[in-house]
Amino acid sequence: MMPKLLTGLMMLFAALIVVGAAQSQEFAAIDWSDRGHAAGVVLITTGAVVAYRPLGFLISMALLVFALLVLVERRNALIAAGYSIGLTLFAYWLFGKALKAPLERGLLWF
Amino acid sequence: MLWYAFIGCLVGTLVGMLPGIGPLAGISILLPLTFGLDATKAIVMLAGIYYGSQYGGSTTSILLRIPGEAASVMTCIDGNAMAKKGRAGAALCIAAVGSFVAGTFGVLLLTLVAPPLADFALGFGPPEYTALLALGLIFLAYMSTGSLVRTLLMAALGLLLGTIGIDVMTGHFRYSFDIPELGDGIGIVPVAVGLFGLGEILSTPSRQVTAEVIRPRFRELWPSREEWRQSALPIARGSALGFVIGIIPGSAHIISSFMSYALEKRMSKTPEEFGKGAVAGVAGPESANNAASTGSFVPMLALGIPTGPVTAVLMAALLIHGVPPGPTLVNDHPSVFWGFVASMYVGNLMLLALNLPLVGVFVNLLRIPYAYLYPLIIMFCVIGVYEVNNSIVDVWIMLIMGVVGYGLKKFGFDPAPLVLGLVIAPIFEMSLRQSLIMSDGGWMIFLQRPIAGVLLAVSAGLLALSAFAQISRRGDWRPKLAEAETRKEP
Repeated sequence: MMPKLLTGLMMLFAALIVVGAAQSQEFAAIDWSDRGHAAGVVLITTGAVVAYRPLGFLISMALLVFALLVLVERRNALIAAGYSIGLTLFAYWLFGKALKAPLERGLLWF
Repeated sequence: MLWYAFIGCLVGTLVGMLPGIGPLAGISILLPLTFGLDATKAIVMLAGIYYGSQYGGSTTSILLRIPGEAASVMTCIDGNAMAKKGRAGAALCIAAVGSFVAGTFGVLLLTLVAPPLADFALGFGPPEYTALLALGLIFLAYMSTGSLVRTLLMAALGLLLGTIGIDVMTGHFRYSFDIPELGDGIGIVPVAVGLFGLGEILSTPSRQVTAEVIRPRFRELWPSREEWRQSALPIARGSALGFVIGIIPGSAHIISSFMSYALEKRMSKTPEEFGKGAVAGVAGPESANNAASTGSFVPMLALGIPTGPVTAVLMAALLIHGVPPGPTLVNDHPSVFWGFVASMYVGNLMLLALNLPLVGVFVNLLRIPYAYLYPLIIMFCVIGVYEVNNSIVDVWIMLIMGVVGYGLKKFGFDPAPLVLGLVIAPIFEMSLRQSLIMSDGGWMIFLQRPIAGVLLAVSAGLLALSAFAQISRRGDWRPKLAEAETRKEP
């Protein structure tokens, strides 16, 4: 009953939005200048999520941060590598050891 | 308990300060870490993040002219203007003291108002509860800056997502697509983190978050006697106004700061000073948004009604810890309620002590380029969401909701009602079905019960008011508020 009621309401609201379409912003007027950034972040994060269980937290998250900094933000690769490794190790200590959060081991033994 | 209040306040100050992450994402990410704590400590820490972020947001507004948190938009105007005149320290001090006074005032009123309201609500049955929840959603839609219909659509979508999983009455799986992890439904944490954490990152390229940081000196923190005199009444007015608005569902902390700014400008003998560094332009809005954040806890604790996405997630936190918020909370779990209230008194003192002496430390944090900050936030999002159920499905849900949140923002839909709908969906459906069972399927029960009837009449009145405003296009204050919110984008 509830799903049908809600679906009916959503159809009503959608119809009202269509009727009042003239008040909405034109599709061409929407600023999509950030789509490259968004697409890059989504693709890299998707890869990290796919790799999370097979490779483990340390490797997948370090690669995530490195890829974001180098491929999306175009930062220096050496600095990015140092930052990503250091940050991941800090996060591993903070969440895995101090806060006892479950982190995937993957390929590593710890 | 004090230790967890301190952690919450510290984290709240940081998330309030840092653009790109707000209290909602902060609470959602840290929620799984509270699973090992008891309910009181968990809610104390998470609530500390919320009201702490109101303090922290003012720091970025004043020093960078970038609101660290949505409610600090108005502080950007006169706060940064004061900073450019060399009065950054005074602005920070007035914002901190105003927030402290308003927060303490709000907690005092919470202590006085919540228990009697809870006693009144104990007489509510399923029809009254259904009507109250419906009113809450419609009020939220009415108070939102965007279209009422779009907000209601998002709320309905959230309620629909809340039906995924096992039906508690029949035991059937609904919309789980044979994915076992969806048997428990879609969690609030992946959705909230995805929509507000990841979604915000997707729509904020690092080039948009660069600004010069004004660095105040510690000895310049104390305002002059004249500045204190100018801030006294705005703090008092902002506190009262903010608390009242905070009780109402909707973007209370944003609305309260906007209304306080407008009130102070109207009451000022020198309104031309607003926009150029008027002390009242900082004191009023900062007090109002803090009082509103405290006021928003009244319906959450006393009635079990979330007034916004943050209180919705806090409610989810209480439910996860086995403490149902609502009229029975005060009597059945007094330690949770009074522990929470007591921690807020102390929390406000802690925040005053944190924000002023440590402003130099916080300024250095603001210098971290956003490009290095958001990968850290994404990592925390993955950790926090995965930790809820040790399930990679939750992380996928977070990622999908992040893309959805990005799309919703682009097309002018507010994602907050979706989260509200998701949180209240189980309670709403249970109340609705119980009401229909009581009446043998008759819908007139909602009109036959006086309280439910009144609540639904108020809902109908709000819908009619909104429709009239749309038709006449006059007296609709929401576009002005939307304009103020979009001014937050640098």
